[in-house]
Amino acid sequence: MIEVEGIHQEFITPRGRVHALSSVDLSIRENEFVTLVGRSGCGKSTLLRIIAGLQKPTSGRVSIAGDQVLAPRRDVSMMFQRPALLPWRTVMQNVMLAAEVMHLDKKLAKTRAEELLALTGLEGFETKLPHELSGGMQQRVSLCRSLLQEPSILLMDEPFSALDALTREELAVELQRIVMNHSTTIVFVTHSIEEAVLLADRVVVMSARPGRVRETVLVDIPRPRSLGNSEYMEKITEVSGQLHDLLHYRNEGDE
Amino acid sequence: MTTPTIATSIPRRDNDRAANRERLRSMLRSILLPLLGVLIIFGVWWLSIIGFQIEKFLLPSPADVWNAFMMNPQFIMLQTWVTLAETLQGFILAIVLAVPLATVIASSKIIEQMIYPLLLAINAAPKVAIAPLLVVWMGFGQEPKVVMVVLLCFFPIILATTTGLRSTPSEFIELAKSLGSNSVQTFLKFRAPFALEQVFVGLKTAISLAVIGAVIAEFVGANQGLGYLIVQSGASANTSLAFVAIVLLAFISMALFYLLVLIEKLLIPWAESQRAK
Repeated sequence: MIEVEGIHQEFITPRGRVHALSSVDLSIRENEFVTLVGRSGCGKSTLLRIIAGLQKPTSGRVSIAGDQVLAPRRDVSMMFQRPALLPWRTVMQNVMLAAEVMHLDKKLAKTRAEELLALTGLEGFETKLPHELSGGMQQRVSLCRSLLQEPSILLMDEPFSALDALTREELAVELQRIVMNHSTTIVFVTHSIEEAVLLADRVVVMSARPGRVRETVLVDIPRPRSLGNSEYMEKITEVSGQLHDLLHYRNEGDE
Repeated sequence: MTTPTIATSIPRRDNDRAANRERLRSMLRSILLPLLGVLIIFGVWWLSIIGFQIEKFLLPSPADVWNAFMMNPQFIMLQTWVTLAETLQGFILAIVLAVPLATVIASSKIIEQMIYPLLLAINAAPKVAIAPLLVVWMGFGQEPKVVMVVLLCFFPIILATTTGLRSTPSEFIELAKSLGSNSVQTFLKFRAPFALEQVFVGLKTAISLAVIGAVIAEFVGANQGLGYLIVQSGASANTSLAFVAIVLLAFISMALFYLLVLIEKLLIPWAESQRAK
């Protein structure tokens, strides 16, 4: 589905060249849930932006379903760290944004928006403005918005990192539930081991300076997963430990 | 949003009632305190005239000013209307000219570099110095006044609008791009609504300047308006009448300012709630 081949990314800043990504190869299957995990500065967000077509790599290519990505695609949708809700639009109007920009069928989009809002527990909040909602609810609206166009690929850039730990876990569980019923390929950037284990079919661990893929870890735990007590506790702990060791392989504390 | 500081165990209705009381109190305070301030100033003004025995042609008492107005209220209100009309025409014309130009400047670095220094130069020139020229070019009618108002208002509006259009948070631009939004859509759905708050900052600066512009132009060459009234009353040492004109100018200025604040509240209700956070 997504093929990342030999991606190099350099940024020229006033302080010199920054080598953000170095020969990154990655292949993501259809309907796979992949999380990119790494410390700050490992280029995981940059990689996501390249896949989204928001950033042109210095060299290498990304293709989706065989077509090289040169600009943002309609079947790929992006969700950001901040909810990025337009403050003058109601919840419903924010969710409908993609329909307006892409000129989708209004009626169908409206029905779908209502479904998504119901699915995320936002029924009854359609006419509220973003500032009237809590951070978790805002991010739920943002999720609804990115799902409206029924993307085949959803790219998520640390979407829950600005939320408190409890809300974050709650939303991660909710995300599993929502995407289990859809055929969506998801690339999810995070620096949280818990999130990675909770969500991913496969965790791609990245290292920094220059950013590259260090290791890929398969998470073979049945869904729906939770961090609470379950028969898979042992397995979850094991994978978490493995990721922990991979991410802390050098004691440099360069966060 | 007002965050109630009362413990959550208190029933909601009591909570609301307390919040209402607090709101009423702060509203009363915001009306009564300025009134008290004005009253004190009037008192000091009156007392110092009596106490220091200041002549009426130097500093009239509040009663003298009131009497001067009541001598010919219709004539004075007509002059007020003339100045108000010039101010509004110039202000609206300035918006009509400045906003599109700001849009062009904000959308192109090249045009910005080409036009901006020129705009700065125009703004740096003392407008009062141009006033006599405007009379030479356009005579004693309304036109030079309106032009003067435009000259004064233009710059703050263009500056604020450009800043506003430039300050769209990057995540919204990324969002627009990722949705494949074209430049017209990005402008209408993202940039322009975001700029509104800044635009109003510019408008509020400009409206006070607008009144000043109209009066300056009237000083130089006019046969009606509050500025004309001030010049005339100066010539005949009718200080009370000059004070009437000044008070009316202040009223116009304040009324227009608060009108803008009201329009802003109606047009961008989300702005205030965001500031509160």
